[in-house]
Amino acid sequence: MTPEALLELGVREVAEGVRSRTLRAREVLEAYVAQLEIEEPDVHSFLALDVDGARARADELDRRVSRGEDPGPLCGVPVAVKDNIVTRGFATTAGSRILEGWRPPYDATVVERLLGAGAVLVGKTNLDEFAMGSSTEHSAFGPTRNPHDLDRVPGGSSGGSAAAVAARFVAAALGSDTGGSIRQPAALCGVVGVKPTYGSVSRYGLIAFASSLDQIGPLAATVEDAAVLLEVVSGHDPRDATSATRPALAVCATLDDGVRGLRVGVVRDLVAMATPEVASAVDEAARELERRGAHVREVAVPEVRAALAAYYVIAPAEASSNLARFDGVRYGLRVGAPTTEALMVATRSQGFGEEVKRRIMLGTYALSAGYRSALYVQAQRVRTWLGRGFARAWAEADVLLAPTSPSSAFRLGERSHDPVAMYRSDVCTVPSNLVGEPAVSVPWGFDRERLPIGVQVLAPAWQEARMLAVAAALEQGAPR
Amino acid sequence: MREGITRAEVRHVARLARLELTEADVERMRHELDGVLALIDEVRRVDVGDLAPMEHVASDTTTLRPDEPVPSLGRDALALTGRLNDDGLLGIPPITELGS
Repeated sequence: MTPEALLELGVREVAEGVRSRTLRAREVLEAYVAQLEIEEPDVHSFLALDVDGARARADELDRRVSRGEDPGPLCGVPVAVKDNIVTRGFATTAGSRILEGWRPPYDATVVERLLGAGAVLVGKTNLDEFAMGSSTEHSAFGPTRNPHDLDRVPGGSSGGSAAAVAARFVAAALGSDTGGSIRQPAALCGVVGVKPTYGSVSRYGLIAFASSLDQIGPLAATVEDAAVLLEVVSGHDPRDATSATRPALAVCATLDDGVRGLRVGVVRDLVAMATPEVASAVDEAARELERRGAHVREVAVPEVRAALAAYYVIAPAEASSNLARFDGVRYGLRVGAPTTEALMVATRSQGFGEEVKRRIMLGTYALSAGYRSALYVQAQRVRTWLGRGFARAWAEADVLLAPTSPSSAFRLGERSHDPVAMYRSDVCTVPSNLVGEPAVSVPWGFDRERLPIGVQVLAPAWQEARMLAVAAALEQGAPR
Repeated sequence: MREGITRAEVRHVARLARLELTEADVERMRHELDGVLALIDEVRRVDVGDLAPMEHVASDTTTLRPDEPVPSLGRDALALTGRLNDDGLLGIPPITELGS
């Protein structure tokens, strides 16, 4: 098989090929590495690569298969992991100078599960520092560029993972999504990105940003590839107290179930926030579902209009608390100073980038005396209100349809000096995080500048199987 | 009507957050935070009645693991962090300032 043909294979085809010895894990890996060596210098999707380690791992998998062993459903599949997910003995920075050179003493549960299923870890992908951003420009180690147009951002914060999948440097990747950080870069890079239900995927080993919102999920070229990864990484983990005591999600068997008879609600309140081209993509996607037998109608969820404001109180507040642990004593950077307090101040001031400082300041302000009740607690009330809005919507619809990002990929530098403009990139994705429900971004064609557009399918908690069946139907009908 | 954040408030919050800001940083941060505070001020304008605040997504399927001892990471794993000294001990700077 030619390297080009190998890059076209889905995750399941690669694993089945390697398990049945019609493919070798090593030849699959070399096809991806060849692609990576050509384009990665321009894209910069990785913060750390371990190609030698990946080769040794692929050879080991080939030997195990030849001995009659079955390494698992991701056997020989080259993957990448966002660099805020810890990997034992392998540099993990979360895109921050404050963790430069730190080597974690353990693997995150999701990494254990990927490796346990036979995946080949190629490297750690770039991100906005501590996952705070929507463009990957806030990485301390330089931005990632969109493989569709190198002058554009890949989205963020999982921009490295999205770009690596879009450029075929890996078959699939993991990201984390606190306010859209899997789905928005997936949309901007033309790949599939899944934010599963809160509690469905273990966060043991995820460097925390906002603990009531963070969720790990897959980015992949197709809905099926994402579904295979989701089945591998989901399921209860006793090491994460917020992990639901449920088995792994079962989503692959029902991907071809279709949408006949399903009630699909178009969230006009979110469509109204998008550019005309993105809005018409959502409308076209709705017509495609209707053509396939779904009952499509508009569903009003006006509460989503307040979601962005609530998110930008709650997420920074939780971040300001979570990032207190980066004090120069425990991890990474330590700037010497005569007193403990001076050491902490010097380390944090030199180690954190501007966006992280801005969010810590914002969160500290929202939690400070005099503002806690008016901002933080009030934002939590809005969160309850938003949950009621979605509960009402779920009485009328089985899934909801919305834009993923209000626009296609913007130019590097276009929003990086305007925090409010950057934060508005998250307006269509934050509602699902605030209510803990799943959502997926699926590619839906391109705009006039040949930049990918993503549409978002939202579902009630634990309804990933139905959500991904709808996504698969959209994928089949999407313009090429 | 929302009042803007002052330079004094920016300095106070930076002190709470253990961040050092230069005078130029203070003014830039004041300007940037003012813009973001205008965005988030919407939460104050929403009439949510007497709804209870949601701290966390409600779940009836989370549980703490059994309270049983399990092996810790161990010295070999901690050595990966590069923070063990020649005696195999984790070295940290003084974190109490007795007599200061």
